Amino acid sequence: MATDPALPIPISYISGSYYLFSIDAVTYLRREHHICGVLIGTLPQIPQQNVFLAMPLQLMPEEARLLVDKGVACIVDEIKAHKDGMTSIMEEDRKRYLRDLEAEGLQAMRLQNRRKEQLREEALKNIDAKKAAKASKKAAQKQAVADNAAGDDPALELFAGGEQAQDAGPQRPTPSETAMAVTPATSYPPMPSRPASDQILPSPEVPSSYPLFAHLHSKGYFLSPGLRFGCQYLAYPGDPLRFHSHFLVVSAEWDEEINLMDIIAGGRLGTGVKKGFLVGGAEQTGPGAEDSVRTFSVEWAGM
Amino acid sequence: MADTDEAAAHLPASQDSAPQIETDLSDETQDFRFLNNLAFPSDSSQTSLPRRGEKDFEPNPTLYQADILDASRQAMHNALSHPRLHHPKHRVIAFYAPDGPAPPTNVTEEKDEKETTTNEDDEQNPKKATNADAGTGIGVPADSCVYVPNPKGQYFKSMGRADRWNRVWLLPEEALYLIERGSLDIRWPVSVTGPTAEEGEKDLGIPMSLQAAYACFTGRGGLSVERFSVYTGLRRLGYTVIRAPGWDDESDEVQDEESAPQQGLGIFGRFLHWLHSWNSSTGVTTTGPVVGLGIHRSYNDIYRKLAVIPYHDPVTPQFPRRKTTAPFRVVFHVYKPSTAFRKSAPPTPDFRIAVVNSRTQTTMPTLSQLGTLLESTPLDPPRGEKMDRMLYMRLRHGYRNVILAVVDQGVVSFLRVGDAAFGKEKIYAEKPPGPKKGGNRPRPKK
Amino acid sequence: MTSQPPSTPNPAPEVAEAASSKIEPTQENVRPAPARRPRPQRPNYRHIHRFPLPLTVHPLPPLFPHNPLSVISVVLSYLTYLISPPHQELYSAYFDSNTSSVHITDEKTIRALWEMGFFGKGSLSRSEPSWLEREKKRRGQFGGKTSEDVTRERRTERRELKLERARMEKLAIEQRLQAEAAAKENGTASPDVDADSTSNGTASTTEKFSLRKAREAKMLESQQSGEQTQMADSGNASPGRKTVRFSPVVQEKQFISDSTVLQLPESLIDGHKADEESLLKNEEHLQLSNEEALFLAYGLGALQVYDSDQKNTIPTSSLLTLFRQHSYFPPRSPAANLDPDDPFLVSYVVYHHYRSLGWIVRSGVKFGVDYILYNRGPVFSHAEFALVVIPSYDLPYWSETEERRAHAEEKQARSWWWLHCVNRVQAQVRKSLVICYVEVPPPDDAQALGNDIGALLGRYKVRDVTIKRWVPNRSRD
Repeated sequence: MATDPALPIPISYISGSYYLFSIDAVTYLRREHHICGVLIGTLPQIPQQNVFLAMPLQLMPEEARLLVDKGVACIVDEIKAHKDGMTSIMEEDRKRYLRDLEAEGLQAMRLQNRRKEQLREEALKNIDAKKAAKASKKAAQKQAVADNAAGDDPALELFAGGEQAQDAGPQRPTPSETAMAVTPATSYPPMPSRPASDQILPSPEVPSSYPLFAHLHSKGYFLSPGLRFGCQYLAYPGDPLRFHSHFLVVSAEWDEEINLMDIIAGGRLGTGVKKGFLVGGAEQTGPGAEDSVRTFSVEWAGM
Repeated sequence: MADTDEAAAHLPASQDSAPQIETDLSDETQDFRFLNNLAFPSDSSQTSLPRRGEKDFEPNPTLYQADILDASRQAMHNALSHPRLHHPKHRVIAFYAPDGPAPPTNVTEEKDEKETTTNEDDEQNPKKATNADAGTGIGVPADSCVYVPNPKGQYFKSMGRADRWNRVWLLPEEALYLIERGSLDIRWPVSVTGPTAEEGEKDLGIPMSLQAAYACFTGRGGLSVERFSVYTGLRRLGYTVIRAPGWDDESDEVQDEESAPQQGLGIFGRFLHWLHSWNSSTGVTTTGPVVGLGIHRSYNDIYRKLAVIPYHDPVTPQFPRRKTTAPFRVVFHVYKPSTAFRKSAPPTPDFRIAVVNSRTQTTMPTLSQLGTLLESTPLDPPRGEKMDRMLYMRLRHGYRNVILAVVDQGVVSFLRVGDAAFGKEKIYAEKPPGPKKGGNRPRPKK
Repeated sequence: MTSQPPSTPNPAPEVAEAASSKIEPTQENVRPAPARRPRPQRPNYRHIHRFPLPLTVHPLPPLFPHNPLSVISVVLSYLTYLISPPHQELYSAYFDSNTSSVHITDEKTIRALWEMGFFGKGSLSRSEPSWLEREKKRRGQFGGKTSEDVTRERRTERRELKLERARMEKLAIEQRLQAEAAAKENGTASPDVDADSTSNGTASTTEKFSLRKAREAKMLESQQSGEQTQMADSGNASPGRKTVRFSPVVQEKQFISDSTVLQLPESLIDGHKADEESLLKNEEHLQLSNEEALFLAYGLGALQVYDSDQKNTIPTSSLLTLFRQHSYFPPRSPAANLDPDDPFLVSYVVYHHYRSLGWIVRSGVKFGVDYILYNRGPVFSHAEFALVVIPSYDLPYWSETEERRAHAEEKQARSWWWLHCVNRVQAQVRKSLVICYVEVPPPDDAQALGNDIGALLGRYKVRDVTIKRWVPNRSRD
């Protein structure tokens, strides 16, 4: 189960972008603060696809800014942190860290061996069952079936395709006790878990659409980058894991002239995918006004 | 006749309930519970992906819905907690070289021991050793920053460059891609972290974390995270992706132009032409009518006279050749998984990609930017049996093409741009369909 | 809606091609013809629209170089036309400054311009001027429904069903909540959700309510008491919940106004049936866009445009100036200078270019683009290409001063989200997006050009590029 991270959560700033590398932070911010970011990393379990991606999580500057303003997170200059941090690890810490990693690697190896064992047993059981079934069949068919079994049986194929097939052989394997090597997700440890104060950066710069972003977020919407879908943000009524987006969001300055054709296209696009096209922005009011954002939803009536 | 185009929007296939042309699973956030259905960890034989899941319209106060959401989040947490492991048998160890390519530090000490093997290699690959490259002195690109002393595995067929000590040097995007997918165990150099092993043992150093890899590799050697997102996204799908000459700001891709064959009119054609132009009054373009006041012999004549607006012909080479400017320049050459690729002699790429960060370049390219970009690609006219037959396909294909990868905070959207030149297709001269239904249309000649 | 299902005879060339070769079939509007109610005989569009432009042509007799007789016949035909030149129809229209467009009221001209080249749009119709036909049908002279009626009925039904679906969803949620509350009281745990189970992820509350289900439920309900209707009304009030269903008030209003529209005619017919039939006259005119008008007048010489008083014709060069002034809002005064990038000129250059290639160019406003291009015309096939016009300021003049640079930058700036938005809209309606850049020349020296429209147009240059979403997952083969 996820453990809640200590606050403020460090957000890594690297060459102009904001990232999270700790899964606990990702889960926590998603659940408690409706911040989803975009997973951009390859999922090591299934690396040859783009549907399910993995760490790191890239945050929009808007998201980072919101979290910093809420006091939930701080921005860390990760390049500097690594330059400073990696050169000044005490020998003791280094060794403890490597021991810990080794222990983790051993554990992973045992887990994997056990799992392979299970798979193998299941596969063998399947083969036995099938053989038994085939044995009861008519004698005339026997030869053909046996020939087929080697080539077509899915269980057999799985068995043969596994990594262990070559070295396993027919006899019981002795699980190797060498540790897996581990590539950790974060650098903390071995680096100290709290960044030094000179590695903390000021609040992120945000685009002019930020007031609208913050407004919709404060109303409970989950927001994600929308460019691919023809807008600036997609607004979801709940966690995008479980809900489709409701609005295609575009921000405008209060006095900005909006081309009518853009509204037609936006409205048509939204209605075509059963979403609202939402245009909004901060109203130019006095300095006292708190949240002065106005939003307008456009729907194609098709009269 | 109400307009037919309005009707197109109501056709069944365009309802979003039906699979749409544009539907792509990676377009939306997928429920990670589907991932749990897959066997893992590390079962590489299972690569099929689940179908897309159903989602609710909006939150409601039922516990039922809350429980499903919790389950989805838990599944996501589990999937993303999975560590990147390296089985001792398959592990590929690499070392980070913060200062770029350099000869091995212990090259003098080890020379005696390793001399025999090194010499052998040099004899086998004399070309490799003499390969002059980027002034690094050891024959690998200057931006390389990770080396693999014992390269094994399929990845190095299309990645990295070997030096004369048989170490394969990786560019930052290659190293980051491999560490991220759990295929490379990169180590900090002992010179940075200090020794980690006892005297006499081989010192492998501290493993580099994913976080450290991002800190060290993005922003290095021209690798923005946007470029990396494009690189890794295509690699994941099996494409081979290499840097194009336009990667660095200085160099530019230069393409040799092939001149288009000119079609000449026969003598008889010219005579007819003359006859036509003699007869019909020349168009009065000053105040019109452009088609002239005389007798029109055919609609084709009328259309020919109407052609008074100059248009760009992508086949004519542009002089002087303009220089592309970032971000509108080709930075990646991309090869389909099926294309035979040799990294020592890369073939003509299947796709050329320019990468744009939508947050820093907020507007789409101007004609000048796009034109220059297109002109930096080779002429790729719409030819072939199918193209000859299909007008729309010809137009869509165009005479040159390039792919813009527009990256919005980790979300990549690809747009193919084709240099269309509608002006070269006189559709008035296309034959209308034959009088009988289903009649075979004569194939229009070029 | 009277679209052409692809099963009708003489499919458009591209449709036929796609069907036979199976290349990108989804792109080419190929699908099995939906079962529809029988429709009246389709007009012979091939014959009606046999002339691509409102100009008559007089082909020469065939010339066979080896046959002296054919040469003589050619020469003869030249002589005939020299002696008695054939009459070329000149159509009339007038400029309406209130709408900044050109109007035609003469029935014969309207038919001619629509049939030969698909110019203009009926002021009371979506496209082809068909108000009178529809009106006659509506008043029962022909019987049967107009396409507009069918559309309206379909929309009303859909809206009703959507409301019904929403109500059913709400009901299911309430039932679920009650069940959960009851389970809590009884001390049993709420139905467990297994983290690994995905099959039941959308059962019960999350069951998808199809419109068909809603329709069935509606049928059932109509046989029952009105009690449930009351429930639906109370269910509609759910404060504090986000929803993208547009406010019930709006939906209600649309609903009501729609039904009044539907009912109104009956009462009208009842009241005035007798005198109306005889008085029915066409209240529709043909509206030409200014680009169409200039093309007909300047390009083809087939149209003369009168001023608003319908007394004097406007010479072509003045017509251009007038249209250019009216492409600003409010229109520029005659004293003001005109810019080389005024919207009309840029737009006309594009219109003229594609017309000169043989395309039928019509407004693309419904699809958020400037133009859509038909091959042969809207009655034959869907428009394949959607055109967006963007001015370009590539010439050195435009980067000479800071002011000009700023002007150019503002005029050619288009955001990425806009491009993706327009591109997605075209994908929804299966059109290919084309960006048509128009290179803007420096301001013209009016003296030097001496009101030479041809010379003016010749200073512009178009370059078109096609834009298509590239999906790496589907380009791997």
